[in-house]
Amino acid sequence: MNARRDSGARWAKFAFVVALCLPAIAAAQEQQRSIDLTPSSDLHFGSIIASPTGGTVVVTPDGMRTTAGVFGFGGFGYNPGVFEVTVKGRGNAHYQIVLPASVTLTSGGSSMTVDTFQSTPAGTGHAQPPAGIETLRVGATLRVGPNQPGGNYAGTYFVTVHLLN
Amino acid sequence: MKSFKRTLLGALALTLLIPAAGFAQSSATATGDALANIIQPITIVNDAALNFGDIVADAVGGSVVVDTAGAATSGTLTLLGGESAAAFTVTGAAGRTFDVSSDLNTTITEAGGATMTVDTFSFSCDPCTIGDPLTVGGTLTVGANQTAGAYSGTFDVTVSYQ
Repeated sequence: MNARRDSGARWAKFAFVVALCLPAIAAAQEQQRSIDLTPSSDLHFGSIIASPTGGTVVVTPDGMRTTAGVFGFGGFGYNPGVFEVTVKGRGNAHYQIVLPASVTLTSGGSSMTVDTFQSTPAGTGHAQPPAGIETLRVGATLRVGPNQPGGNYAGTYFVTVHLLN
Repeated sequence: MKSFKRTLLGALALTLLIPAAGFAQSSATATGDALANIIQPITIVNDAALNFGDIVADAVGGSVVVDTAGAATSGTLTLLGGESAAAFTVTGAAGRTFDVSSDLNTTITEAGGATMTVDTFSFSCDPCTIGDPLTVGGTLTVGANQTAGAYSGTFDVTVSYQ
């Protein structure tokens, strides 16, 4: 009888410990969410004919190009930056998007500024598992200087995504 | 009691370890390339006029052709020389090709108001490459008993990148 009661008591304690651990395990699984960001296409403003006054070129996240003060050249060759956002695990699949304030493109000794970054989705995105994939498109505004020297300009920019709690 | 403690310790270890692994993947940063190709604007400057030279008027009239090399020919009219093709300097991005176009025709006038028509403009190249010399010829139509005088007018030549 004593041995049996001891055994019963031990099982009760074990069950209690397991019950204590369950919320911790559930919480741990939620926190095992992960987010990944993979670039798949360059942000390209295409070919632009400079002008004495300079101007701006806007490429929108949906791939439209508009110019002011300078001339867009060619009907193609421009496109938004494209990234694949992948969210894995359980829980909130919403994420915050952080875009740069401005970056510099250079060619030889010349430079231009790119700013006013915008994205689709804007601000926050949602990559709901099980698929957990969302396409993030990035546009921006290129500032072309007066008589901007000709050349192929290039630079890099960072995009960060944060999983929201 | 011993196994209870062991289980409790295990559970504690689990709860301590897993959040650390989870938070490490809660954000991601990627680098994108941003690119733009700037092309120097194309410009065109006129260096020499299209000149049909001195032509002797007659009772029939006719036409005078100046080719892009600047040579004048006429089927019927007597030419006394002084002709030249129009010449232009085109600048832009090295190696780029461009198209040439012009007005279809223009009217040239002398001081007294008499007119003649110049048309059928021809180009030394079309398309051209930046750096190519661009010369333009044309055809002048001379009327019967055309009024003597110095005739002049203008025509536009347009260049655009291909």
